[in-house]
Amino acid sequence: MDIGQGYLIAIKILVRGRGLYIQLVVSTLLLYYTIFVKHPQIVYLLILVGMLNVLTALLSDIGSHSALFYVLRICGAKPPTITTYVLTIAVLAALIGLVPVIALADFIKVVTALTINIIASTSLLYYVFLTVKKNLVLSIA
Amino acid sequence: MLEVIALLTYSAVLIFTLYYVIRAFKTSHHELREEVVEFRRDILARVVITYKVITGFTRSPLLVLALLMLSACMVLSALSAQYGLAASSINVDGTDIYAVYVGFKELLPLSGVNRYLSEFRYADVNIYIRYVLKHGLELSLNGEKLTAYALVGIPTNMSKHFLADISISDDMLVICCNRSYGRVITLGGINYKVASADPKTVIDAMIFYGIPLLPVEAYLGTKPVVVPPDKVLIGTVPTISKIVNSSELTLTDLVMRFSKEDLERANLTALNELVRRYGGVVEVLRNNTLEILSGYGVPTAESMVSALISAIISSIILLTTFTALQPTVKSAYSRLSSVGIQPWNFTTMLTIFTTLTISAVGILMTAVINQVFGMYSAINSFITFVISAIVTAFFINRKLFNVSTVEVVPTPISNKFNLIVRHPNLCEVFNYISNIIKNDEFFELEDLDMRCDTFDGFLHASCRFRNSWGIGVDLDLFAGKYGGEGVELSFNISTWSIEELSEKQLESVLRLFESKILGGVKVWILVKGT
Repeated sequence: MDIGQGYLIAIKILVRGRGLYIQLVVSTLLLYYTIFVKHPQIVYLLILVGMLNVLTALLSDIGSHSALFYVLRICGAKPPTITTYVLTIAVLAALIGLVPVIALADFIKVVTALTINIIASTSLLYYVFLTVKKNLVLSIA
Repeated sequence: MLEVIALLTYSAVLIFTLYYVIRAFKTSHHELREEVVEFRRDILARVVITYKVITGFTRSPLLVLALLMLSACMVLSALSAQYGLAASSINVDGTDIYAVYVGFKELLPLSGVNRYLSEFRYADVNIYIRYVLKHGLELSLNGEKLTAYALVGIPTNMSKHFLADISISDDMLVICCNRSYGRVITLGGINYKVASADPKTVIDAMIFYGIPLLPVEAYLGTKPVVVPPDKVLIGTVPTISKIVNSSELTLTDLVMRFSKEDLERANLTALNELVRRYGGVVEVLRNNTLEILSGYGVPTAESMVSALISAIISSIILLTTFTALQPTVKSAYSRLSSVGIQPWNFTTMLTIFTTLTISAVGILMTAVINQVFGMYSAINSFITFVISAIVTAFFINRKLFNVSTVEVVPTPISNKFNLIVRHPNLCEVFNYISNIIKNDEFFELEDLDMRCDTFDGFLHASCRFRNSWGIGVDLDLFAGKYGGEGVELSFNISTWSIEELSEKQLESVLRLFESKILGGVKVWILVKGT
């Protein structure tokens, strides 16, 4: 098994899971508020909903991510591969989550939203990875 | 006296009844009482276990995420709420008047309304006060006491129109009486001349189409009931404003007359804002049609679409989150099934619990939104919440938490195994097994049939699972000679259930019974050393 390119596995997992599609649908629906609702505070709410959307999308595929981490550990994948996988998933999810915000927000808000989304999704995936790692150690012991 | 006797009688009857009820329970239902106590203990244990499992479920961060998303969607819906005023129109042929009427519920200072009127500079604006007093205003005139319950302020230029030939001024008050007093009245340290107007003229006076000059006290059907004219004090707007202790001009009604062209180009949306702020009603009379805009808002189509989209987003996220909770649900069910919780029980319980949790958050958010953003936003959020809650409850009940459709396999569960015992006293083995069954904490012996010889024997036992109604176990044990010095015991244990239970649940019951029998016989073999 070629596990050298973490980003390719990440894209495959994203495309095969339903999280990506859920996120796309929700982001598209949120565009309604971006376009039609003229409220000064709507942008902050869209940033929050976008972040929750990213987290939910990742959670819906959590089984696939968990299984993949297990396989990567068993096959002896190097830490950069896992990091690339985690970052690719996080960045893609964060970018899709940014769609409703990008038209309304200024540069600083966009960067903030992107950072929040990436941190949230990376933390979640890393937590899953740590759980898998811990369980694997326990089962081998 | 009668009350005391009645009280004593009731007390005596109550004590007498309670005494006999307690006595009756103490004497004749001793066994039944024990059963009830045991049943209650059983139920309590189940409730405690269920509570612990369910609270474990609530601690899941996924549930928190779902509730957070619901709250965010409700706020999203609240921010996008838009409401227009409820409108209706009536055909009023033959009026040919172009005018606008604004009626307020309370007495307002003119300064608050003025900035909205700047839009209508080219209109002929008249302000009125039609005010019902909370307490009657006592007046003394020619030694006769009069009480006014309502005050009416009219523009000076309209006095002849409403009061026949009386020309009103700021130092004059008009009472509606057929007698002419021609005296001075003192109110708040100011002397006013008094004039009398014909009550009939005043009753018939209208400031706008269908709006009488006298304040409306109530409605009889759709017909307004006005304050009687002899209980009304009429003056100019500044005079009445002084009487109600206002330092500036006040008003309750506003009538603007336009030319046809002016009304067509007038920006009437300013009046919507005015009514929305102060409450009341706007009536527009043009082209022989009376349009009435009430102060009550109705949601616009955009607002409804927004609430619906929020509900869809919220439902998608909630369902996705609850789908991710499925492994937790299955684990919870496997734990609860061992204490006899049925699948439909579990599904119903979890659905109710989830719905209650969502409802608690939804209602709390609605209340907060009502306080922060106002009633109309709260209604929009509530629509989002209700749709989300219904969709979520339906899907989790039918699909996500429905363990019965996933796990129930109505197949009979049984197990067979053999044990070889050397040099046994077969009847002793059979008695030992029957004693195990009789003293089992999980199973209650219903039927026992036993025959035994030196090397042959048969035992049949039918037991009921104590922790759940309608589940039982049957044991068939055959003993036969094995070789020269041993006996083979063939066990056949099968479970049965009145309801269609899952294979997993029946297997749990089977294993519980099997472990008791097998463990008991093994111990007996060890003790006897056979």
